[in-house]
Amino acid sequence: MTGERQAGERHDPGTDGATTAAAWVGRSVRRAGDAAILRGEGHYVADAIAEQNCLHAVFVRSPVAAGVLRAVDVAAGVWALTAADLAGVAGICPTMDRPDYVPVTMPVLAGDAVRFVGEPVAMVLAASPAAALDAAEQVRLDIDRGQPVLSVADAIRAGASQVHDVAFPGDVNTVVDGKLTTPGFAEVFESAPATVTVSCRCARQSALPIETRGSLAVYERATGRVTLTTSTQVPHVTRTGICAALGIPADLLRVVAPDVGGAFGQKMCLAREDIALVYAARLLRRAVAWVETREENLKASWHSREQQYTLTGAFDPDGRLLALRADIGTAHPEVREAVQLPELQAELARWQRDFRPTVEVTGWGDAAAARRLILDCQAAWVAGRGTTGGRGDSC
Amino acid sequence: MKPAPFDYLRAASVAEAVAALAEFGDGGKVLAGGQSLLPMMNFRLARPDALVDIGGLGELRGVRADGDFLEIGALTRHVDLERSAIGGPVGTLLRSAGAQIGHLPIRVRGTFGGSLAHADPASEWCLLAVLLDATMTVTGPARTRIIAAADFFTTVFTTALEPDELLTAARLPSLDRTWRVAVAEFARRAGDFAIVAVMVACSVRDGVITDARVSLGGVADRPVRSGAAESLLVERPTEDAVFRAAADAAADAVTPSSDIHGSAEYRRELVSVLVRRALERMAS
Repeated sequence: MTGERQAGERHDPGTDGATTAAAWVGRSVRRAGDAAILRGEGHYVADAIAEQNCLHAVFVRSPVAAGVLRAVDVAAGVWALTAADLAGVAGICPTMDRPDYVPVTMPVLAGDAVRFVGEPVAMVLAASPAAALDAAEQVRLDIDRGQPVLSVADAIRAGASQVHDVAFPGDVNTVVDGKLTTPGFAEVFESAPATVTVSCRCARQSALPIETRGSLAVYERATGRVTLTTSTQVPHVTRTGICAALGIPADLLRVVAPDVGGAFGQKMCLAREDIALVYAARLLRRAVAWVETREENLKASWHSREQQYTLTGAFDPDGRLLALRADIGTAHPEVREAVQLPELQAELARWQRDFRPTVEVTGWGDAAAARRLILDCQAAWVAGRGTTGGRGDSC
Repeated sequence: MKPAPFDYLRAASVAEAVAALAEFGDGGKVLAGGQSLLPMMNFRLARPDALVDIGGLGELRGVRADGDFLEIGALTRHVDLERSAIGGPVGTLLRSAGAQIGHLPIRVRGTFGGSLAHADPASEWCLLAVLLDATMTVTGPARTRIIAAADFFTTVFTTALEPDELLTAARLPSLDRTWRVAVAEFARRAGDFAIVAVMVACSVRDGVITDARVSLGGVADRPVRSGAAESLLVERPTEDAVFRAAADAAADAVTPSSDIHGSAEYRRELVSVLVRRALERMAS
């Protein structure tokens, strides 16, 4: 938006002669869309909803972390969609075909079991958000509470209850079991003069965008086409995923990402609520909207992190890292960095538990951060002693 | 609207408000600034049948001197006290405590009386009322009665107010110039209720404490005075060793419970740190 540029503006690498890539580092960069947003003229999902004559959705969510869903009792006069209504709709299933990975299918609405507090069980529609909230209170869930699996220790102990129907044989809750060892690892690791072990863990996190999630599905009667305006970072994935779930061709769904009031990774994943919304819009041939409340965002939106690492670095006498052994357990694997190390051995496991599903969220807590931590520890050793430690040190 | 359906009455007088409360009984709730009540209603955690809005009762807003007392009307906004020009140690307490309540929009709308009647165990105004032995002026359908702060707060979010009674004002003693005061509190995020809050007021003559009041919030089901700390301060000099002993005694005497914001052990540690910090601030 060059028209917005102010006279006297200093940092413009295009005019001050500094044209190398490094000239951008440390500089503030003017973004095209910011002026409208700062003036309060941004256009968010809720603005699109306000301009539309639509039905409003409220999701009835599980109040418990684990249980068998016996029945969903909907009062007379309340319009609700449940898993039974979605019999022909496929769940969300990742399509990664790897031997060290067991794909887990997530239903659009919980069917015979609930697996986390906040899991959507029914979608209620009414003429206004308030009426939908009132109607949602007329939906009663009959749930036999189960014993939730709340920690990694719970998930992997003998006799643990199984969270999902699938896992590696003989191990009810492990769905990722990755092992990687570079050819020269053992020799380098065993002969290194010093090793340092770091064990660390980080908690679950929520991204907490200022704008919660929200979507508007508008059905066009003439063509049967739905336009889904949704606060998302991944409109293409959203379209592909919804079309796959509903079994409709891609030309029947258009996904629009308007201004997004913060996402940080929480909106980087196909939301099951969006599938229900598009399904309802097609079923009723009407526009259907949903804006997540803050309480829902805290309770039922995507989490991230909850990882534990045990890293052992093998160092030469000058403190150079020669090899790294990483044992990573997580609710959400984030080994996304190209690890540039001479030798590496890594084991990665992901365990299923009765918590909200996770996505990758910006911030501290990934494998790279843990690796930096071990370098910091080693640097502290060198600084403190003037030399590397011995074998078997830990910090 | 996010709340469950409710009836609404905007009262034109204290008498009308009280009559309405009597009519609605347990299902009625007073709406003042609404800064705690409305969020709880929006979450549908609070589901009153009816709200009696006292927002139009201008006579309940403001502070006036009454002999040796300061009378603060129930509808006085937090920001009125934060920015008041009231002199003396009580003025200092009102300004420094008021500034720590929530965020500015909350302080502009939220009221002194609403905070007292809500009775959050970590609320600044509840802590102040207990510190200074304030008295509450309460009007019911039949009579007006006075309740001492020590009897007013009964447990978490619960007071001695009957469902048909309206808190109209609180009276604080106006401390003379020998009193020194300070507030210290800790919260993990700006604007949160404190995990632990401490207020101190000491009458100091020639470097010696002649009277001491220490109140603690966030350590019990209501704000409490620390007799242990107070007794170790009286007739002692304003010195660091005295402050340390009082702070440790205050921490030893409390039995806080653990919750999501902090363990009992952590709260006890905070009591020790914050009592000492408040006393140092008071003495400086």
